[in-house]
Amino acid sequence: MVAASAKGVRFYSEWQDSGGRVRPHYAGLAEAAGGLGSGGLAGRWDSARRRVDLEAVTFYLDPGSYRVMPTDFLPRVIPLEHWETIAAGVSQRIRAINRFLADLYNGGQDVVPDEVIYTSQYFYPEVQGFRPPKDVFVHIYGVDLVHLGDGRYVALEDNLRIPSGISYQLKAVGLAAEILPEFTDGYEILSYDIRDSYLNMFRSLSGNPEPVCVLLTDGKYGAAFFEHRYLSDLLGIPLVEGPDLYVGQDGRVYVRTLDRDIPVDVIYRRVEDLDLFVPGLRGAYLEGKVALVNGIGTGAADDKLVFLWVPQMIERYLGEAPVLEQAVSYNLADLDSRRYVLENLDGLVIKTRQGYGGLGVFVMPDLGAAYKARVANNILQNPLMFIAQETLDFSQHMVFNEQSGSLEPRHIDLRVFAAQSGDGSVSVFPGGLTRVALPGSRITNNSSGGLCKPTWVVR
Amino acid sequence: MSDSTDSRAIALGANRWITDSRVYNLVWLGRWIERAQTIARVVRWAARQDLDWGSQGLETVLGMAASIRGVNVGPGDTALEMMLTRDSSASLRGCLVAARFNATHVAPVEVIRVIGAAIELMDAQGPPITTPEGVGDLMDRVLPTLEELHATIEEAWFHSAPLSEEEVYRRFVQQQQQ
Amino acid sequence: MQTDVGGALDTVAASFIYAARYGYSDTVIHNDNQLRVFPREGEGQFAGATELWSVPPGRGVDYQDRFGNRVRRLRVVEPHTTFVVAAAGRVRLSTELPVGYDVSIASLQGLSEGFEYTFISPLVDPDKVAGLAASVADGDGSLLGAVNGVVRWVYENIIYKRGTTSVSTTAEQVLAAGEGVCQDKTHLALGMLRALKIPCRYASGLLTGQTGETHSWVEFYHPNHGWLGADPTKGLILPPARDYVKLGVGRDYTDVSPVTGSFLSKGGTSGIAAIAAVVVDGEQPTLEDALELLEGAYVVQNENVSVGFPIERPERDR
Repeated sequence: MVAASAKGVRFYSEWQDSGGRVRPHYAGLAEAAGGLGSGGLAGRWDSARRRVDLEAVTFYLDPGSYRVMPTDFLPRVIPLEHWETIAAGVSQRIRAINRFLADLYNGGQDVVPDEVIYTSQYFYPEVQGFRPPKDVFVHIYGVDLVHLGDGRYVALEDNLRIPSGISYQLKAVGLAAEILPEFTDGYEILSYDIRDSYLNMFRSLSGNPEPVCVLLTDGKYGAAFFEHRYLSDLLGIPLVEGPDLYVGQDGRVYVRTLDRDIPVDVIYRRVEDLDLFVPGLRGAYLEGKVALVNGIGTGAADDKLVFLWVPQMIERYLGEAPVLEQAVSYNLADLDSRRYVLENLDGLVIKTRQGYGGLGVFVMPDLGAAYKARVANNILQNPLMFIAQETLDFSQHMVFNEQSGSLEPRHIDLRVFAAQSGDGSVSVFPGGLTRVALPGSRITNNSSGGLCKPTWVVR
Repeated sequence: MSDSTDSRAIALGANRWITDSRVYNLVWLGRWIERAQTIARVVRWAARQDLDWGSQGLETVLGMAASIRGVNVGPGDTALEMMLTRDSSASLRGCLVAARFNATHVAPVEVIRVIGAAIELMDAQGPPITTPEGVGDLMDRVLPTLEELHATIEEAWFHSAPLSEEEVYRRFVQQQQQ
Repeated sequence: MQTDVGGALDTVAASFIYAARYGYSDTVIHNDNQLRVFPREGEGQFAGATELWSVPPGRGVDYQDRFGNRVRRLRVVEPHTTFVVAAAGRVRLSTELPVGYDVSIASLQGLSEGFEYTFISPLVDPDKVAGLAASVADGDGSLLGAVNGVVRWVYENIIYKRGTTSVSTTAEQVLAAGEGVCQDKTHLALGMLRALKIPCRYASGLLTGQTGETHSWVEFYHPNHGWLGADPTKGLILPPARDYVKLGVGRDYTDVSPVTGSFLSKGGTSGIAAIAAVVVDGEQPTLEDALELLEGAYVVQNENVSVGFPIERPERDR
């Protein structure tokens, strides 16, 4: 399905088949878009953009510099049979990763080579010997997938620390339904309720049957502050900043209010360095005085190098074959892999091991010769700081271009979110956040300026 | 609402606790809005003075407004920028932007929306403003939006709109039945 | 205490201490380090028991890096303004002189053993010193001839001088300055040898019978004898194994520095003191011995030691 053509490669189109015929599950959308015409679409887009701007649906690239989340409202449609595979694969990954983390911090895993795991910046020795409730370290999980075509979804990256994006997923779907009501005609879209899943998950982590839960934010200038506020409202849990919390004499965590100080049972934390925001919070967690969502030390497994061994984790801990493929990746500390990578740079993506949000991602086929030489030099100098992945020719989706008034193809990916409770059960939320790369780019991360798109799973 | 959501965490409620960070953002939200309104009023007052401005009219008007506000217009600055557009706490736009950040933390979306609408007016595309009249007209558009904020805060946040007769009766009956 | 370590007959026992103290100008919230202070096994050295202490103690885990060094990842999350690390142990050192028959450099090519040590590394770019290397090496293409030429040139032409270079000075900067310490001389020699296609690595350790700074030297690969030493600071090739206690090897200093890491603090480093000692036939040293030794160490002000592990900005969401 991925065939070469004029300028390099012809990519799989979500919207239409290779003969240019709109795919069946896009027929309704194509008809609705055609009915509105470019003028109609432009008008809707304009009013949607105004709404997003006025209501501060933001994603800041520079802290404190107002910027709304750029959105293309033309939905991405995932057929149910594709979704079933995705959901099974995502559930498998989070379960295996949680088993791995429990093993890593309690006794010794032997899936990932020692040097790899122990040089991870996010491996925390002080977590050794700690067991969170039911050994679940990662409660909220986001995995980035790309679609190669015909239901072949491939994992690119796991996000295990403080994955963000689910609010934009919900907001984009909600806004599309309001702004383009006729687009949903004829579609049966899978609905879901993250509120119950999240609250039940919080409850499963605390000895208190009715736990006091708060969402810890880095504040109103933080990149994903919109999401923090949105989830606080949706879940009905207070939004707190570092100075609102303190660790008391009894080792418990308290939230300061005008009334009194209230002990907290569960902190849905959206900050990375806990002690920087609340001194002593790390210790309180490790002493079992408070539950954290997600736990501490989870980043050891979302290190891009550790990613290489997730299929082995699935086989080892679940005794299953991986449902989702993942990008073929190379450990540059391994001499044979490094040789191969240096000789085949042209077909590879080089990623910095601990970068995120599309920073430090080099798609070699898309770069100039001088830049390639620099990357090669960097690999030689610091082989443990990078990983290499085979370049994937992943799918494109139509995006409405307001300037030209036409639909244009752009690369997309899909970040799927899942929650795992203290009882081990996993909810995978249908759809996900579809992210759109800038024209001519394959980097879809919102931190790199890409758009997002509403995503439907349809029956 | 399902049973599962009926927890103490919910009963206490997200926006019931007055945490330190809420207090901080509430105080500053109020201050920034008030400051924005004052700047807009002073600028409009200056722009509407019936004086012979000459060719330097706009700068003279806004310079007067700046001196009333205690804003220092340096040699490389224009009063238009200092008072209206610059990204700083002295300008009308700067105050509105700061207020919006506080509002995203603490205020309902209706309040965020009105602040956004005021910023939208400031940013509206059009011929550049070159005369005192132009500035006065802009303030005539912005000030009602800021007034609207008061009503929005009362209705969407403080819920102080008077109850209808039917509502008063309905609640009375409900109370009697309990 | 078991003091008889190692299996070779002609060996001598020695005890060693490495100790370092880091002072900070403000409270450190976490301090994450990789410590390479365990003696290596091999090339005429037999490692005995090593004890490693730190204050605050933190939590750690040991692993072997890809160069074969034993490393302790030590993370301290107790707030602190001073961090002390001390290692002490015993080794046995071969008293036999290393032997190396000369071979051609060409016979080294394509060996997988040295592959890791033939390229550019963070402080050593062979291309930048290739011209000098070609002019200095004895022209017959022999391995020992080339090593000898390079080591002698560095020994004779780079003036030993402290304080003019830093931990991040590169090989070509050393060449330009014409002066430096053992680390700088080692880097320059490594660059020249790599330019001549000789796999070679940076060895870090201590000098027997001395108290003071750590030492560094070159090891080059020989197809028959494995890794052999050369010391551009002393102007020696194939120096006696008993003169050195080797703590680690790598491509250059950045791979093998005894303490690398990062810390999170509003302040910076206010002073660093490090000291090393090797005593032949000495008793197993204790933490007290190490701390006493550290009292006499020279304190370097404001040296930047954050080499590995860049700290990610904490306020960003992923």
